[in-house]
Amino acid sequence: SFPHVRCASIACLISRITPNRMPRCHNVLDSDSDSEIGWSRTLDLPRSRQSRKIEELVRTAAQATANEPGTSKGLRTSTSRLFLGPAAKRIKLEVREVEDTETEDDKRRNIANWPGDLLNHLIDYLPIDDRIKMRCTCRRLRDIVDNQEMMHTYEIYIKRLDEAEIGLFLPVSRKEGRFVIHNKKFTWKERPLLRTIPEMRRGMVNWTRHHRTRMGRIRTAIKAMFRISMIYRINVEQVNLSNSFIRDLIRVMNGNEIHSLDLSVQMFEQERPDLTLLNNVPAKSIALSVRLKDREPLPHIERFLNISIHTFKQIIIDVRQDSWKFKSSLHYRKSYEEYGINDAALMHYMSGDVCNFLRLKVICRYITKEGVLSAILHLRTREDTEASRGFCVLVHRQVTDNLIANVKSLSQFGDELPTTDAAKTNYDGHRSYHTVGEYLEIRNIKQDMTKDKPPPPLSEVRYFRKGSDEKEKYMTCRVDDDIRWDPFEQPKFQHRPV
Amino acid sequence: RIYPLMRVTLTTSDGASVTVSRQLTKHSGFIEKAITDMAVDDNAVPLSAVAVDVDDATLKLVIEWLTEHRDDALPYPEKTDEERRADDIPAWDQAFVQKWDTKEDQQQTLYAVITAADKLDIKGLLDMTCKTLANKINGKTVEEMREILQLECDFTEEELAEIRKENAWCEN
Repeated sequence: SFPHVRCASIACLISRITPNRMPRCHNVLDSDSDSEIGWSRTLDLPRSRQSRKIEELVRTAAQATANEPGTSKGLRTSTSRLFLGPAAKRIKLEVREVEDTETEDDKRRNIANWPGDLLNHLIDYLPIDDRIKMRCTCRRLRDIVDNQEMMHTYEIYIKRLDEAEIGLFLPVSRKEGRFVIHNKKFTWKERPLLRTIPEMRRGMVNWTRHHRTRMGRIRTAIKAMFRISMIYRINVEQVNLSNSFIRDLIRVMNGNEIHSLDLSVQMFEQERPDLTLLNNVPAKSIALSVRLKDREPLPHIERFLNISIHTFKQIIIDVRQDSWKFKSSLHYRKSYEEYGINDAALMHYMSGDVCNFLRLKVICRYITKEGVLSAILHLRTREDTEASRGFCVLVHRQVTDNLIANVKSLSQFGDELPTTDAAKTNYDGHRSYHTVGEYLEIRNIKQDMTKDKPPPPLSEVRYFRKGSDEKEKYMTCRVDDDIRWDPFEQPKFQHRPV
Repeated sequence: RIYPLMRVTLTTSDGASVTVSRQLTKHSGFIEKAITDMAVDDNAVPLSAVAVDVDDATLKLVIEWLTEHRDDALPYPEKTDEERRADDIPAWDQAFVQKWDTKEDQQQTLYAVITAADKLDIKGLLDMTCKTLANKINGKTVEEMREILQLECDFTEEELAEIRKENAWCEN
């Protein structure tokens, strides 16, 4: 029917150009006689002689081709010449026999007809994004994917790719958990309002107005993942923290519990993000790494800590001042020291029922040796021993002088375990006291002492009382809080913020 | 107990008969069960009689794979979710899959071998072929998946519109 349609289209075009020369006569025609007089039944337009000739030739050639002996697969081919216009046209015809009914063999080779167990076996080898796509192919596969046992996804990443792009990253496989396979770069099709551009230059418009669309897509993607998978950790990196973003994040996880949320964000003073909103995140542990854009928000973080201590089982807080902005390490440090927590606050955090482990990656200037010993004594005398409980704080080195000896002078809490060779040769030769019931470790922080005014020497004290739930691995785990962590290192952000 | 010298005659769906050693058939849970349960005479196992739809060409491929893997340890190790991965296909198996004729035939042959491995309960072959198919569709869009797997979209227009809206992120 191809030549017919084409000629009809051409005729239609001609009729539009010269309507008076080619009057439409369908009113006076009998529809039954269309084929005899050569009128198109569908368009009521005259068909050319050539189109009818082509149609007839094709039909004849197809019949002749079908009668010829074909290949083993029933394919028959022939080439015909058509004389149309000044040059001869050559057309190739292929005729294949098609059976109307689906054979048993075809059924078996259509994977939608495979048994459920076999399809499950195939889907087991697909990563999460391929499973989501697989469930969009047909109903059968959608049902199979939906009814399969929930898969486990270790972690996903939401990252800022550059100043205006947010991406979702998935791990390539379980073995290479941190390797990025998909760089889902969501293009920014919407031009920002002109009046917002100066605000953006000043860093005042970060998330709220223009990132919502992209976050909407990320939210949809993560919701699709939650449908078929349990996600252990969500990492958010290099985004500007605002109330709007936090609400988006909570909406993403609404109704789905994860183990840990790892936020590595920057905070502007003018946005004043309400960190207490994070208490609505359905996660067991939270790691908040904040890059301060101003000096103000530290009390803000302490306020968050006071509330989150009753929400999360494990809290890791890292705060850094944006040193490039002030160009002075004095300001960089000062912000920590002015707002550090004191002994009473540490005792308050340790006496809560929910939080099992608190790590503060800020210099706690006001914590003294007496405060550390009081916290240790308190943890020792707690009645509940099911969960391991402890803390890890960064203090001035004088606090840790003779700390192990002081702890040993208290009544012994379990039999002492020998220090392993691995611990002896560990980074910086840190000191530790290890018994059946508790673990104490003191690590000196390496600092640049070649400066004119050397910084105060610092040490990190890590203590936890071992519980019966074998969760001590969270306390000693060096994955989320690496041993080479340095409070004075430059921030890891790759791009200068807006 | 497996007697390595004992031979088993397998009859395919298209009437052909193939005689193989018990050393090969021990990897097939189905054949081993058939031999035990059916108490067949002369160790002749008619596969077509027990509704196993395996043709002659496919069975030859299965036997070729079994011959190469005849010394594999049994029982086949069960893998957990964490251990399961699709990029660890041995070199011989990769070459074995790649040598199948044209692209279209390869796909059809792959499907035939997968279904045969499933029905004959040959776990190693089933794993290998499923990994191969998973690698083929890995990272493809939904349309490409449909094309590779030769699937027809049977969603209604409304369902399709909803799916497109939900999964626009993975189509980029």
